[in-house]
Amino acid sequence: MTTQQAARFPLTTTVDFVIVGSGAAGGIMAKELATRGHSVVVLEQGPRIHPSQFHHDEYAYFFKNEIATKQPITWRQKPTEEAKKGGFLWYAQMVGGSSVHFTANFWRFRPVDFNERSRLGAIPGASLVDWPITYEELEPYYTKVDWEIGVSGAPGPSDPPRSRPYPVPPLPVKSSGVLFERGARKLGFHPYPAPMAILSQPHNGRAGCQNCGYCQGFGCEYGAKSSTLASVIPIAERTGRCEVRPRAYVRKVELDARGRATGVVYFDENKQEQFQRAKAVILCANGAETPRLLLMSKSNRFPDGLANSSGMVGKHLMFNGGSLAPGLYEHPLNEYKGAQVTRIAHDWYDSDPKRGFYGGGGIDARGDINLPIFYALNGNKPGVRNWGAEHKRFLEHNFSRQMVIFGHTTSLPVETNSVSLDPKLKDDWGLPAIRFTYRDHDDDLKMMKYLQDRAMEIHEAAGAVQSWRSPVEVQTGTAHLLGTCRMGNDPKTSVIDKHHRTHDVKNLFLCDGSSLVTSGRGQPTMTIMALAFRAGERIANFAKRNEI
Amino acid sequence: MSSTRRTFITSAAGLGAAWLATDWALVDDALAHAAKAVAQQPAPSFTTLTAAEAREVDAMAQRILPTTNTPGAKEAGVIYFIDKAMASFEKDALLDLRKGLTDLRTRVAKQKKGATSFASLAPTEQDAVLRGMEKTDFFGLVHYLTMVGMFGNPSYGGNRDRIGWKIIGFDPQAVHQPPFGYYDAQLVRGKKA
Repeated sequence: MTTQQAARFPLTTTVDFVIVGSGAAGGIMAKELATRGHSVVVLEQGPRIHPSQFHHDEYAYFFKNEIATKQPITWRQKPTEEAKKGGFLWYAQMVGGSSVHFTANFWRFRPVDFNERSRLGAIPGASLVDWPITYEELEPYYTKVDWEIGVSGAPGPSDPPRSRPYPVPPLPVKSSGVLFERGARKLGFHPYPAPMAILSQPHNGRAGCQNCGYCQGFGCEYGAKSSTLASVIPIAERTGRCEVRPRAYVRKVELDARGRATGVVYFDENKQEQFQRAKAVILCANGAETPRLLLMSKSNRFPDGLANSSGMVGKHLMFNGGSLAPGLYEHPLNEYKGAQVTRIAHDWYDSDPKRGFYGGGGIDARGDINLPIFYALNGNKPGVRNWGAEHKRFLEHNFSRQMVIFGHTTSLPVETNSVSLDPKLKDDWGLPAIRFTYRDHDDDLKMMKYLQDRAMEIHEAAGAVQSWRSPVEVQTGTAHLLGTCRMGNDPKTSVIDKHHRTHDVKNLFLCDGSSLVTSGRGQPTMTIMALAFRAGERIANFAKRNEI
Repeated sequence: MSSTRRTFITSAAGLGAAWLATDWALVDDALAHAAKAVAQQPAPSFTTLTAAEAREVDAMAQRILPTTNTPGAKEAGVIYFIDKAMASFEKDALLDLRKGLTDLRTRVAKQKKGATSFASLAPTEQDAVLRGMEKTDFFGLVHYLTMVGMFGNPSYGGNRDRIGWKIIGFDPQAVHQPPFGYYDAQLVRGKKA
């Protein structure tokens, strides 16, 4: 391993950059800045776990949150309600962040994602706006993600323009992919191999996928899944200019009298308060923790939270929608083997006025409910008794024969959907817990149902013995945390500019899911990573020109 | 364990015998093997639950995943997982489990005059009691623990001889080779032909 060569900075050192968070964005930011000659300290809430410590244990990972966060949260649908303990927040709290446990669906956004407000007009009940950047501006950085992080795939029928082919071919097709392709083609849709951040073959010195099936929610012990832990963090550390400091829980960004960030206050692994000085601060803590940290960093200058003169910090939270249609087939599929997804279709990507509501999405075929405990608890049809001899018989016959057709959809930015500080509940460090306020826009729910209808049709066309709908309901949990410090040209309606610099503080930058202006169609990580490559390059250029 | 997690799960959300999920010869073999293994072992003592508590929870688990023509919670040793869980990885639930058992006694008495334990009821009576309480948190807890004890890693004390995995056709190998299932295998065969 490379950790021996990694830098160790004494706390008396003022480093060039302190990065909060080591996930999809933080890991890339560290690599981009360290390889350009800067000293970097990355503070990570969670532990450092060596890939050899990852193991195949459904109970530990899904029910005991071995790597997923245990942050206490509160939840409500409307700002007028009192939030109650509950809801579900799913992010990995460790070096590499959620890039370690993601399912690895890597869909690029398309040109249409960036200018929907101009093309579609205002949507009642939402504050849909254009991005201040275009797909064309981001394309080179998507290509960097393909090659430096590692994406498997093949050209699709309606791909956005790309400057370079995929570095490695698609993963081997599963039975779910074969059936999905069969059904979708019969209906005139255009299925194609799923782009996945899992290496199908060795690339950049990393191993290819072994088809163990433990991707979604797990860490990859083979290093084939393209987390920042497996890809760019070792490169950042090998420069000798980057220290990734685990179990460092940041509570405040400090400002000096001139309104410049001076560093961050954090609790170390012994819960002792420490201060890391830096010439500039970059928050990559995810779409919930970044706004929370800003809201906790109040000062006389920023009484409503740091960099929050717009009042937009924490607002416009978006999750993406997901609608599931499980189906049973005559012969075994064994969906627990291999990567989750091998075929997708994007025929419903753009919003279509003919549908009568805003929204777009894509559909994939996957195992999803494909590990034994999950399946025993949730594999059966809704409303059917999930215990007793009948249920047991269902599990025995169908565990190997079931797959899910999964619709992934847009979430509209709604100002009242937000991350804020809970007035009562505290976390384990005595800091205000994250409070979620979230109710899917009606159009979001309609789009979820729309794709579920398509999923049911595809099952039928593919020859499913049986299929059914998981209820589409207002969401009360999420793994996608988007839009809460959105990017824009107007300091009154956005938190960061198009270079990821906060409008309010010259040497404070934000880059993670919070930067997104719109939600895309359900697979945000690739875009978060592309933004991080772009932001890292820009921030390094600002530093070079003494513009920080 | 939390009910929200279970909600999230549903919302958010080689050729030959190896992938034929339910190989009944294999399962019968497993059943015989398990029965033998259980019979050969001296009944281990429980570390957290009292013998009476364990009897009741065990009886519930055995109705949740009954022994049919394939092994169930009994053969998988689910109760030993639950006992271990109550001392360690699910210890926060012990109080709820005990409260639930008190409530269970009341329900048993209502079901059958003079009955003092769930375990002493006939299976059909037990099912009637469970149906009457299947929406309760207590039933949810025992249901959850039974499923983890049956289908979780054997290292936690249940799923003996990987019985739970065998009956559903889950092959927990660290590496798999395509084709994985019938339909992708068919595709490969078609291409070769």
